[in-house]
Amino acid sequence: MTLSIKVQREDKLSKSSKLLWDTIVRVTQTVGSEEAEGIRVPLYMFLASERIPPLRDKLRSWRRVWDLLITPIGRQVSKKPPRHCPLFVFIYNTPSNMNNILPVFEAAQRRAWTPSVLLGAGFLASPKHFEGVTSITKYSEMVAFTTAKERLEALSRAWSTYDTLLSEFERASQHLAQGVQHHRLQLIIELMLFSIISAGLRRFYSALGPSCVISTSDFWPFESAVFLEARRLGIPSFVIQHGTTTPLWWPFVADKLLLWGEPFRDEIIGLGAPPDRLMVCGMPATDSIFSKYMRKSDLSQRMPKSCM
Amino acid sequence: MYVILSNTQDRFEFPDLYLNYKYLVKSLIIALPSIQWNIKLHPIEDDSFYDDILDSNYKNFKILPKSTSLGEALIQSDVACTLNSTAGLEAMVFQKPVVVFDIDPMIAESAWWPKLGGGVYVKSAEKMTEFVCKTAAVINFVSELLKKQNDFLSMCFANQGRAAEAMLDVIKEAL
Repeated sequence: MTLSIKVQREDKLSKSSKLLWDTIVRVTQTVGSEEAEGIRVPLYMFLASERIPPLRDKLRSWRRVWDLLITPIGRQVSKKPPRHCPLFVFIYNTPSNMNNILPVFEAAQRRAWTPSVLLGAGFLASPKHFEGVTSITKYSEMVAFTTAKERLEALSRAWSTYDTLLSEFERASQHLAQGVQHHRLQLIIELMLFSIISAGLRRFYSALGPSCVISTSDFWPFESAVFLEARRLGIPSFVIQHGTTTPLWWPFVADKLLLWGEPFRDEIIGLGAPPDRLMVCGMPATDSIFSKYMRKSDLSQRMPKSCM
Repeated sequence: MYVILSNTQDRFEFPDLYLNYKYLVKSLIIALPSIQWNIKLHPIEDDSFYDDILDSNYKNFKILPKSTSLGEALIQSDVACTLNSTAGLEAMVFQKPVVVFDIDPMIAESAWWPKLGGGVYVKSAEKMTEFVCKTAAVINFVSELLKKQNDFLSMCFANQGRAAEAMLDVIKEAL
């Protein structure tokens, strides 16, 4: 079975894109701050586009600052139960995310693990998904848990991280450094929001004391902060695979990646990930479909008993 | 009825690839008028990519309403086609023959499944016509294809039907 399919990772992104990703990983590692690590994917998107950001993008960034300014400060985290239970982070409503995390969440409910829920910024909560869940917290609350001082400090830290990032890119490539400069506003805002969310998460995790953190991605800044903060506090964390793997999947932040099958594991090992952080579990999105077909089709006859 | 599992949201990153894809879709509609071609949009995609095809008012081309789920789209189809959408994998679980539009070397690498029996590659309208003819004329063509797809699924997807429980077992053991 480990007839390792050699998915030829480099070709999934073009060679120049793979080179760009490797450079970003190397530079952000050199910078050595969690903020820089947390904004790798937006940084990749900005630099890969090779364009000066249009006014629309800049306005969108300012809109995020405005949202931050109007969010109340210093709200207390309620210490309502459940404590020391798994925290499921629902980041996006897209079917690929939802179909892979919901079956796990529902299974956790069936096992009476009393999971609590954290919702990402773009998540539109559907009450039917979370019946009986006593603790549902939203992204905006992470911001509200922070103080004015923490927000100001975040801005100052973002500025200095940006300067370090820029000087490291200047050392790596003048062309990329130019791209970083074109996206200065967006990068500083990403870095600042990352720090603020991290501070909110720290307070939230301390109050909730989750037994572990489970989600479908740790790519983008919010989810990256979710997992980096868990790591800092020693909370075990797991990412459930929600799509086919690409070179952007390594390095990942979570303690373990729960994968659909062996070929995906082989691929990520090929990217450099340590095998002990990769667990092959299956694709939750297909559980109900497999169950349905296995009941009535010959598919079941060919499956090992351990899978039934 | 054939469903195309669309994912044109990446078209700005890979403009040439999607130009070829659009050309192929148009060619398929024209070359195979007896096939109803339905597009199942990706949830984060709108139908603007297909504007000019829609303007041509082909009778055998339709974009499914956004409210149509992947399952609904697949159940009503005989064959599922895609560039490299993960939905192609789910189509195999739904026991549908899967065609991957192999119009660029990048596709064969990102949608690698046909190399292991998970569907078949088709790179042109001519090849698609051959495929359609075989589904009708060659005995066991579809059942053989489905058998290969099922073998692929068994090989690539662990704990079929109980992946969520398997994940909780792993988590429990790690805590």
